[in-house]
Parts: sequence; structure tokens; C-alpha cells
Amino acid sequence: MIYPWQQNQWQQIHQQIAQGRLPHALLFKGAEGLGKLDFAHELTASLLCKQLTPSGQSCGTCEACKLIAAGTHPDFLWLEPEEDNKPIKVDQVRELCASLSMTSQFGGYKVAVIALADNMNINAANSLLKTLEEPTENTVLILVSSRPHRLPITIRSRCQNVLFQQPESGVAEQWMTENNTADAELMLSLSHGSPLLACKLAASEVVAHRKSLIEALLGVANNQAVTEHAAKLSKAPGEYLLSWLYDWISDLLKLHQGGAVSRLVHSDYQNELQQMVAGSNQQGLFGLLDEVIQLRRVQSIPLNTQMLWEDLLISWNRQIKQG
Amino acid sequence: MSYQVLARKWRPANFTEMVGQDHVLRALINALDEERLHHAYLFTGIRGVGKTTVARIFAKSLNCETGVTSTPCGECAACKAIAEGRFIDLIEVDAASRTKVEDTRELLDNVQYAPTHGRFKVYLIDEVHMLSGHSFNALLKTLEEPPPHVKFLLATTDPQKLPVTILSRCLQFNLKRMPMPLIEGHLQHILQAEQVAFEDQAIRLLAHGADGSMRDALSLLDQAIAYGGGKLDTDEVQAMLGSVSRDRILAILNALITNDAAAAMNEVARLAEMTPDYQNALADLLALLHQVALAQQVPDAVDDHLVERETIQQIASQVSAEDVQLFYQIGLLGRKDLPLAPDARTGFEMALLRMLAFKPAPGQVSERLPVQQTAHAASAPLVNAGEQNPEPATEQATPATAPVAKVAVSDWHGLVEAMNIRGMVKQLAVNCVLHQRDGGEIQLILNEEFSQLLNPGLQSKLADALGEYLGDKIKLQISLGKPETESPAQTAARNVAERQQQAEQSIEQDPVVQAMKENFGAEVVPNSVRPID
Repeated sequence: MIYPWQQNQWQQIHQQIAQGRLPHALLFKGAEGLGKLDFAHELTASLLCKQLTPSGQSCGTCEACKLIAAGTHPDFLWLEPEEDNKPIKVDQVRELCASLSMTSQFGGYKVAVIALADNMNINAANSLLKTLEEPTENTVLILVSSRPHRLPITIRSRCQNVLFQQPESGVAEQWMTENNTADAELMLSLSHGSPLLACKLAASEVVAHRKSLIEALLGVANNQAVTEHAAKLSKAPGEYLLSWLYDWISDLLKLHQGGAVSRLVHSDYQNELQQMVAGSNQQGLFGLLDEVIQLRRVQSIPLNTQMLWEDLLISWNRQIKQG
Repeated sequence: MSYQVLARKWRPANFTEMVGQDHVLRALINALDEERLHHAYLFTGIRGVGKTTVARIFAKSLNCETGVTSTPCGECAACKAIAEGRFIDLIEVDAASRTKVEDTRELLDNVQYAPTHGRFKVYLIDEVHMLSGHSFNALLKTLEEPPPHVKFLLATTDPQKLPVTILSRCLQFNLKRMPMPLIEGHLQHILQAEQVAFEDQAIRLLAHGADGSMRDALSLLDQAIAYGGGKLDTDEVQAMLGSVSRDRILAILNALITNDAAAAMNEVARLAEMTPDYQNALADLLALLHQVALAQQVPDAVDDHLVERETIQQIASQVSAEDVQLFYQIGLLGRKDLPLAPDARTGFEMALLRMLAFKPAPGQVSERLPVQQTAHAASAPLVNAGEQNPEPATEQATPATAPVAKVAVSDWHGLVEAMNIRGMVKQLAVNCVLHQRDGGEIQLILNEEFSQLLNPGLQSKLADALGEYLGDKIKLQISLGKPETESPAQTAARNVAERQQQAEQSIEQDPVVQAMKENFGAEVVPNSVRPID
């Protein structure tokens, strides 16, 4: 499906199709949770559909659309890591290239979508190069990535980029309210303006952990013992917590420099943040920010989370006290 | 129905159509014209500069029915077949998909047979860096002495991954990055041929965005034509590239140098309305800082073509060189950390705020230097810990920097270190103090606790070493006694004790240790503290 904030991209690509200028390699890039994959799916459907609606979308009723919905359309190849958080393997890519070298079954386009393209390992990426540069007739390859800088430059140079951006908050909020999401504004701010992530966040229980994070931060600043807080935090999903901790520190830093309150991520804790600013020291906070960045870098490595949080909380306590 | 992208449509079909890379073309054209052909060529270079293209044209030149020529006709059956990718004697291998040694052996099985149709059998192995080690080794013999009807053309972006044994068997041609004017010229040529209206500034932006690669330039051009609905317009190209007009970046830089965080944040907010690529925005900021630094140090080196030349010079006069360097460094680190920030805008803002937070307050720079120097001096004993004692060490600094200068005899501590002595002789020397020196005669007093060191053998060795060092014949007398001054050994012992004390003290005062004591009731194990050597 096409989300309201993707209209520009949709029109641009349709203009290209209308002009007969649709390139054979597209790279969809943009932050997570903007619906790039849904967009790729809909684009594929509209390329394969036999009876397009006047607005250029797929009909959903023709044979091709039914096959796509069932996931069995022979000219539609979808590549993603076989397991979560694992790379896309070279054999998968080779298989894809082999299928693409044959003519299409339905006589129309052949479309390959590579989801999470930056998860291709170096061998997989290299074996895609030749096909990506000169595929056979009527082939369209769509690479989708939220971390395009991790793709080799030889891949990026062969694709036309389509950039997806966070929607304006009005558009996103409206969409979320239409989808009955509670706390739209806060969820949106916590997921940095990515509406799909915000919806997911609102539906999941992860949000409860934010409360324990902030309790821990406030408590440790008041010299409560770190171990119990750390034990609690170590059970929560680290990626969310680290990202919220980053935001908490950056909120403090923004307030330090006299930033506007409206742009705070943890806007519901304004008062607490403002009280804390006085007691903290900027350069120390930047040091703490570096620690968080470092941890985000090594996120995939299984570290002892209890110790990790103790360490972070002790540093936090020291920063706040030194100010 | 299928559209061919510009990069493929405009892939040069002969050497004259190629843009740039004259150094490679000349060598190849001459080789073809004089029929001095090597049997293995390796083309290297960054993405999109023409490696595969050169290799294909070369294959055409070899097999054109008009004879081996640097100007393939493009009309004969062979040339057409090659252009359409169906020439039976041009074997184009995607090495990245056929990395295994079995694949390579299968390929080489057919080398011995004469070409079916053309003059030469041409093996074009693209992305050759991906072959496995065994595959490379399987190639070696054939690559060194192939049959006369076989030519190998290898192409890769990554020549350092090839074994030297392969490299030494090939003629290597390194294709260069495309300079911007060449890219601009080529884009204009294509746009005219495609009958697309364009603005010069738009072309310049695209050429800049291509970063030295023609394929990138053509991919961007394709995209820009589609984006602009069949024409090239500067504003639209700018929007498409996510490149922000330099005015916005200049405004941010201005906010930075006036130390106005609120203004900087407002500028970021205005920037955000254009949905920029923050990675690029930060790169642009760095480029501006680079120009400012240039304007400060080497004013002549500032690019004359820069539109904002005057603004940059004005900024250069307002900001100190240290600040520019600091901003640059922080920006550089910020670029690295940007992907790790929860979202790009926050990362960008943090980089800007960090620049301001670490900017020394006015007048602080000059005060800071002495502070740093004293700090350095205080830590000096720790640094020199490996050596015997700091006192001679400081004086030793002179011989260290100027080895010619000799240490005077009166400075016994220094002399002991400077002389070439070891072991027992050194032990003897460090436990003595200088009593008297009278021309060639030196009298020492040995601490009586070490009387066992005094024997004629060691004494004469020490005398020899002294004589050698001072370049004079020395008569040495050593008497036992209680020296009034400190011997080198005592100084060293005292220093070790002091350093130990210092270390213990610094552990006691360390905020982490204190925090541990406070939070966890930790204790420092006595005698476990050692100074860092």
C-alpha cells in the first residue's frame, strides 16, 4: 500500500513509467518505519498487474494480483535474510541472478525486491554487481535499505536512488489517529517521526520499559543504588533503551544550549529534564553520549547487559554529580 | 518496453567515444596498431570509470573482421555480436558468481580449442577480485603462457585483493577518477543528443555529486531527468540530490562562529523543511570549514570559482584557526557517528552542539597552554618511570637531544647514565659518589654497605669506561666511606618510593575508586597498587 507521505515518490516513479524511463535498478533508502517495503510491494504489483486502476495502482482482482497476494507470482522475486539478523547469503543472490537471467513467465516485467539490502554480505553484494548493471530485458531490481551507507559503493553507483523522508508531524499524526493509535504525538516523537515504528511501538509493551529507564536515571541521579535499576533494565530490549537514553542526553544538551522545549523527545518529562540541566555538565554529557554511541555500535555483540547498565548508570551518576 | 538507462545506452562503442583515460587508451591503441599485444590485461580503478567498457572495446578491436585495429568498424558481424553480447568467442565471466575453483577449471578446459568464429578467444573476467585463492592459482599457468589464440582481460575495483602472482603476469592499467570538467562536458553532450533542456549549474551539481565516477553521473542524470519531468532545473536537481543550498550551510556556520546555539538550531529546523540528507549536509559543512581554513593559512589556494568566496574570507577573518580545526575534527567524528544516532537530524544537531560545547571561551586558549604544560611536567616522572631517576633524566635530556654534548665529570649522576657500562661495573658506579676530581685523577667514595663491590677488576673496568667516555686517561681511586651526598642508587630508590606513594595517592583520589567504595563498599587491597611504567 502507498502511505500518504509517499505520494511524491509514487508520482515520480509513475512519471518515469509513463515516460518509459523506469530504470532497471532502484535503491529505496530512508529511515526505518517509513513503509519502504510496502511501497516496493505495491510498485511491483502495479508493474505486474494486468488491469491498472486509473490512479496507477494495482487492481487486486486480476490473475497477477491474486498470485502476488498469494506470494506465488513467478515473475516476482523477494529476497531477504533467511533468518532474522543474519546476512543475505551469496547463494541466495546467485539463485536470484540465475532466475533473472531467464525471460519472464507472463511476458511482462520481472521484478526482484531485495529487502534489507544492506544485510548482504560482501560476497553476496559482489555477485549481484553484474546482474545489477546489465540485467536482461524487462527486469527491475529494487533494493531497499535503511542503512544505505553500508552497501558497497559499487552497488550504490549502479542504482537510481529514491529517498524516503519522515513525514511532517501533522500528516503522520493524522494517519495514526485514523489507525486508532493512542498517544500518537508521544509515540511519534519517541520513534523520531517514523509512523510505522510509532504504531508498532504503541502496540507493543516496550514502551513500559521507558518508564523504568527514566526512573533509573532520576533515581541514580539521587544516589540510589545502581544494581537494582540495572537488573531491571537489563531485561528490557537494549536497542530501544539505548536509543531513548541517547535522546534523553541529547534533550539535556539541547536545553543546555537554550534549545526550544518543543523539540524535546521525552517531552512528557520536561520538568525533570529542566531540573537536571542545572546540575549537569555539558562536556561530561557528551562523554556519556559517546559511551552510548559506542554501545550502539557493538549492539549485535552479546555483552553482559547487567554490567553494561551498571556501567552506564555509574557514569550517569558521576556526570550529574560533577555538574 | 524496457528502458535502457543512460549509463548503458551511452556506453562507448569504440575508443574515440571514450571520455578521459587517455593514458590507458594511448597505450592500447598503440599496442593494437603495432600488433604488440600482451596476452593478459588487468584494468583497475574506482566504480564507473570505464574498466568493463575498455575491456569490451578491446575485445572488439581484436576480433573486428577488418583486422586487428584500434578503430573497430562496428558494422561487421563480429562487432555487432559483441555489442549485443552474443559473440561466441567473447567469454564474459562474472567472477563474483563463479568464484569456486571448479568454475575456473571448467572455464580453462576450453582454452585449448581454437576460436569458433573470431580471431581470438577473449576471456573477460569482471570483478576478478572475488575469485577464491584456489581459483587464482588454477589460473596461473594458463595466464602465464596461454595458447596464441587466447587473450585474458581482467577487470576489478579492488586490485589489492589479487595475489602478486596474478598481478605480475598481467599488464596493469589503472583508470583514473574522472575530473569534474570531463564529466560536465560529457553530460552536456548527452543532454544535447537526448534533446533535454538543461541549466549549467544543474550539470555542475550532478558532476559534483558523481564524485569522480561517470556511471554515478549518468545514474544521477537519469534520475534528474525523471524527477524534472524531462528537463534539468537547478532547484530540482538540488532537491533531488538532497544537497542543500550552500546558503543554509553558510547560515549554520555563521551561527557556529558567533557561538549562538539557538540560531544554529533554528537553522537546522529550516534545513529540515527541505528534507536534506544530513550526511551530505555535514560533508558540505566540512567542505566549507576546509575552505575557511585554507583562506586563513594559504589565501591564494581558495578556489576562485567559489561563489561564496567573499563570505568565506569574511568568516575566515572572524574565527580563530583553532576553532576551525576543532569544528572540523568534531564534524569529522560526527559524520562517523551519524549512522549510530537514533535519527539523522538528532545526530546532526548533536555534532553542532558539540562544536559549541567544546569551543574554548574567548581568551582561554592562551591561558590553557601553560596549564597543559604544567600538567605535562607533573606527569613527567610517571612517563620516565622506566628509567632510573628523574633528576639525571631531566639533565639527560640534553645529551638525548644533542648526542654530541658530553656530560661533565662533576655531574656524576649524569655521567653514570651516559657511560657505556652494564652489570656489576654499573652497580659499582651507581653506589659511588664523586669525591674529588683532579685532572686525570678521579676519587670516588663507595658506600660502605656495598664494600663487596670493590675489587680491582671492576675498578679497572670502570676506569677504562671513564677514560673511553672522557677521551682521556683516567686514574681512578675508590675508597670506602659514608658519602655525604646521595649516590645515584639512592636517588633511584627514593624516586621509586615517591612514585609508589604517588600512585597510591592517585588511586585513593580516583573518582571511580571513590564511587566504588561508596556504592559497593569496595576496599583497595594493600600493596596491590603499582605505578604505571
